[in-house]
Amino acid sequence: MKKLILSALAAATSLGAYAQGTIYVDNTANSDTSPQASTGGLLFQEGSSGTPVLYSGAFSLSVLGGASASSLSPIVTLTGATAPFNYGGGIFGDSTGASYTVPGVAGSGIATLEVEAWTGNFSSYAAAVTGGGSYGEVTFQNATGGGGVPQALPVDLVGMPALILTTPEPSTIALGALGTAALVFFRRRK
Amino acid sequence: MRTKTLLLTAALAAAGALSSMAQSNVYSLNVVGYVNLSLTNGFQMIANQLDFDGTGTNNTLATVFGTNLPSLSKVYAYNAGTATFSAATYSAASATWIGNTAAADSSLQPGGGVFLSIPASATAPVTVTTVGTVLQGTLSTPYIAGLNIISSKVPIAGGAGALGLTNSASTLDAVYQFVPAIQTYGPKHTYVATTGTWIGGEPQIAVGESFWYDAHNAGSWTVTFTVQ
Repeated sequence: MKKLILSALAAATSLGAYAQGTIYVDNTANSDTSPQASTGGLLFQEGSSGTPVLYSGAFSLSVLGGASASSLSPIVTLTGATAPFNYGGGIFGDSTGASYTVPGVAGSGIATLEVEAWTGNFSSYAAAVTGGGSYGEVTFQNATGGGGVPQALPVDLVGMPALILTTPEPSTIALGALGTAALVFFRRRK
Repeated sequence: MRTKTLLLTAALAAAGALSSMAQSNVYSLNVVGYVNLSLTNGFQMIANQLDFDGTGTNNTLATVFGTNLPSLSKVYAYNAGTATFSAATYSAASATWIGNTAAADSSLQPGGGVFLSIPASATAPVTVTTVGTVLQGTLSTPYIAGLNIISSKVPIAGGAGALGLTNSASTLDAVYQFVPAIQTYGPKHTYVATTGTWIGGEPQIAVGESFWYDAHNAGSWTVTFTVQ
C-alpha cells in the first residue's frame, strides 16, 4: 500500500513537472481604468487631445510569450474572422475562449507576455506599424495555469498594463512634402 | 463522461399504508433514480445530483460512491473561501477514505462538485452508479464572487441557459469545464448579460458534471424543478 501511494505521488509530481503554463487571452478580470495602470489594465486609444480613452472599437491582436523577454515566441494572432471581441470599456478577449500554452514556461509558472494590438485592415502588427494604423504593445509578466494537482485553470491577462493604441505622428517625409508645397505656394503668390 | 439516467417515480408504500389507516391522507411522493458515471483514468469534475435522504445535506463519500471506486481513487474538494483543495483517498482493501473526508462530504451535496482522480492502474472506463432522491421544488445553489465549483441540482443535461444558470449570472461571469479525454480545460465561456449570449459558446453541462464558475458577484443559482 505504501509503495502504491508513493508511486501515485511520484506520478502526480512528474505530471506537474512536465505541465506547461497556460493562459486565456482576455482581460475580463481587469478593472483598473487608469491609462497608467501597471497591472490589471484595459485597452485605450489615444484621443484627439492626446488623452487616452477606453477603446470600444474593432481591432486585431497578437500575443507572444516565453520564459523571458528575450525568448518570446508567437502564441496566437487574432485578426479578420478571428478578431477578438471588444466588450467595451477596454475589455477584450479571444472570441473562441481557447486556452494557449506558453512555450518554455512550466505549469503555473511566471511567463513573459507581449500583447500587440492594432486597428485597421492589417494582417500583422508590423504591417500596422509601417502602414499607418493605430497600434500599441505592452510587455509584462503574467501568472499561468496548467500546474498543480488538480490542474490549475489557465490565467487571464491579469498582469497586463494599460494598453494604449496610438496613431503615429506624420512621417518626416510627409512633413517635408507639406513644407515644400507651402513654400511653392507662397513663392507663386509673390 | 458518458452518463445515463433513469428516474423512477415511487410512491412510498409506507406512506400509502399509513394513509389508508389514518383519517387524514398524507402522501409522500419521492422520485428516486440512478446516474451512471463513466469515469476515465486521471481527472474529471463530477457532481452528485441525487440526494441520500431528501434533505440535500447528508451525502457522504460512502453514500455516493459506496465501494465502487478503484483503490487510490482521490477526491479533491475545493474550498472557495480559502481557494485551496483538500484531498481524500480511497482504500479498497479497508473500504475506507483517508484524508479530509469532511470537506469531500460537504462538496458532494447536490449543487456542489469535486475533482475525482482515477488511478492509471484502473481499467477504464470505471462505471460508478449513484443512487438517490431527485430534489424538487425551489432549488438554490449559492456561490461567492470569484471561483466556485458548482453543479446543477437537477440531473438533466443541457445548456447553461436551459438549466437556469443564467437566471442569476452577471455579465462577464465565466464557466470553465474540464475535459477528461484530454485531461485539460476546454474553452472559456464568458456570459454577456446584456445580450444573453456566451463568448466561446454556451456551455453544455452533462449529467453528473461539475464545473468552475467564476462569478463577478456573489449570488445564487436558483431554479424550480418538478418531475412531471
